[in-house]
Amino acid sequence: MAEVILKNVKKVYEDSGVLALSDFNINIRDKEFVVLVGPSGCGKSTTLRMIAGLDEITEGSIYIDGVLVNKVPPKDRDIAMVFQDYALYPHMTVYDNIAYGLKLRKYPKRVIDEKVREAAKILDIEDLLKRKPKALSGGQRQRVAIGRAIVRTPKVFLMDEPLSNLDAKLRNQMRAEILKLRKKMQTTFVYVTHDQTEAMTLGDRIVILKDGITQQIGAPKEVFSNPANIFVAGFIGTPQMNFFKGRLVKRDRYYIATMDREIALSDERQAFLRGKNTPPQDITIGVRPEHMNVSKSETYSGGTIDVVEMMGSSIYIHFNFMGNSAIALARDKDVDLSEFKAGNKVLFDFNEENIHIFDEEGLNLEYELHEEEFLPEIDNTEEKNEEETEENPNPKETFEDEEARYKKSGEKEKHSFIDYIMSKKNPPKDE
Amino acid sequence: MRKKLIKKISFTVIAGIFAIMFILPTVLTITNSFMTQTEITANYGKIFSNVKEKKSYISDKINLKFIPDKVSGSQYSSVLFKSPDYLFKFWNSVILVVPIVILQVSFACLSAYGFTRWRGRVRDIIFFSYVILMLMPYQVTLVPNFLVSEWLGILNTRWAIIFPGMFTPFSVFLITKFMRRIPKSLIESAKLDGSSEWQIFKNICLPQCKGAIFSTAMLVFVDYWNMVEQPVILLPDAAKQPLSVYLSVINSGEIGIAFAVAVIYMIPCLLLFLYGEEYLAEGIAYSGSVKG
Repeated sequence: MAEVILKNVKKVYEDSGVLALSDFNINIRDKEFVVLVGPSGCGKSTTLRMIAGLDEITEGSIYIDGVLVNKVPPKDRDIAMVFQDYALYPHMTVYDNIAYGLKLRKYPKRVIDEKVREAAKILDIEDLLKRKPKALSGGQRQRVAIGRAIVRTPKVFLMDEPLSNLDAKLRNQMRAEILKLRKKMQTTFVYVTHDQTEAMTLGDRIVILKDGITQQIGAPKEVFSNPANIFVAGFIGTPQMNFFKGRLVKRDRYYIATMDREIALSDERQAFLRGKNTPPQDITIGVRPEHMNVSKSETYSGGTIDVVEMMGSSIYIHFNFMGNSAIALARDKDVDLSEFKAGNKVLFDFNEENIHIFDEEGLNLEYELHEEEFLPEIDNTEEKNEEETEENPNPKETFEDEEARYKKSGEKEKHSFIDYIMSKKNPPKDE
Repeated sequence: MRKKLIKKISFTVIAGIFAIMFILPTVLTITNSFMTQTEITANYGKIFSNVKEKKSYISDKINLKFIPDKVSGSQYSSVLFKSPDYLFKFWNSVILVVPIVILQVSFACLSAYGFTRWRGRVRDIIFFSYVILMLMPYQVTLVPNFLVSEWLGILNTRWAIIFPGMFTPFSVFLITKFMRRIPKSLIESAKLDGSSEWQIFKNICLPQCKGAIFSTAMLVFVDYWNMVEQPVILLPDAAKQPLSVYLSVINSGEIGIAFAVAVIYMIPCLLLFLYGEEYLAEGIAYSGSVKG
């Protein structure tokens, strides 16, 4: 059980010169489950491998349980890792696979036996101990791989896309198993996946990466409801968010002009945009498929249906409207699903409160407006110091100061990419 | 349909002829080794030798015969009990080839591990030069080997053959190719489990390459078991020469004994193949680690 801190971590592959990870910062709390998610080549596995010590870091520092581990070999980091292909030793039995790490650490035979059987019991693989990996199914191999990791009771668990080789049903089952395991183990987890559903269901916090740059770090609900930029908005959520080009218009109030309609913004939004003195500009608005209201009413503008995907009690309607492709979710409790067929007209609308506004650079114009809603709730009453609570945090503090403050106050940590862009757009004012 | 059938039959017949051509000498050797000396002489005539010219002659016309009139083990009893010379030569072969196989495979495994674990420009160049060396027939390296052996003072000792045999690019190449197919995640997993480099090599890589190691050992054994040039050049002392060299001069004696010796000579290779057939197949069809 330990916290893992990555400070300004950068990785450049020497042979190819490829920048895999740039200025990565995160403080993973003790017993926290953090999921690194992103498309292929975004640097998520590289990050995990650097925490494991399998890849060297080019710049920055990694701390595990307060110890700088940049030069510490993998075996001395007290971590365990589950690989995508499970990496079970094919010539050893399940028992030997699980016991191998303990044998190397010279545990007494009796202790090894106890620990192996205990792990096997937790994972329900007691009757497989004498088998070789080739005689196991995918799910069983997965359990053995996890067994091999938990038997050493490491400080940190690293999992590199452990479910990607399983079929959909087994994946759902194993996801639940991992959640149960996490409850039992009470240790720190760092989990890599390219599957946003896995990330949303498993993680306490999600780190979204793209091209080696952190896009957003936040709780699943936060990244879903308040995406920092257009990439996160499109990446998180299935099917992905609909995007429409538009313009932010400023008259006596702020309006959004998009397609054939003009949307008046709420008072809260008006106040926020006014406060930031946001100029009129071209924007992209994002609306999730579940927030698209489809109907037959003639008062709404309409599009042509391309495809209808039947999902049982609901359907996904893929349609085209004024050159924009969009998806809407329609539920049978709301509308008659039989009315929506390819080639037919669909009429749609969305509520102002459900739209996300992105500027020309793709950043969420209102990110800070909702940011506070998602601040983690941490009971810090015991650790609060009177002097500290009276003082305002120094805006020019060092990373160490910031870390210390973060630990004590539970303040939300900085998101390198967002902070960088925001600080450029809204430089701190001297008082 | 008929055309296809004719084509199929023609191919089968041609393949059959080739198969018979290959197997016939072996069958002839085995069956003839069970003939009596009288029958051998009747079929192949009397061999006599001219010591001055170092040549052997067969007096009469050869009559190839596959099935003995009377099955006899007299040739074998002559070889095994009356002429210890053959057994000494057999033992010479064993003590020459076994160390070569063990040492060559051991060094090849270590080198292969190095080439597998640490990739880089220099190591790739070294590996490439290994491949180039492998393409050279060993007759080319025979003269340099002779000169080096003489310089080291090991000429006419078994070390003159064992030393060059210990480091052969072919085995390194073969085992490296196999070892490189071990998934990287297995090695990394072993590292995280706490293995040292030696433990990764011994506990993870070697068991994974069992098939490849056995295949290589078999090929090396057969290669060195049949060597003639190296002992002739590097080990001129007849008392130390292996049976492979002695087989070429054995015909100057009784030809029936030559058949028996040839069969005895074949047995180790045959046993090795029968024992290791599974490993050989496994080695060839190696498919790496388990995948989900």
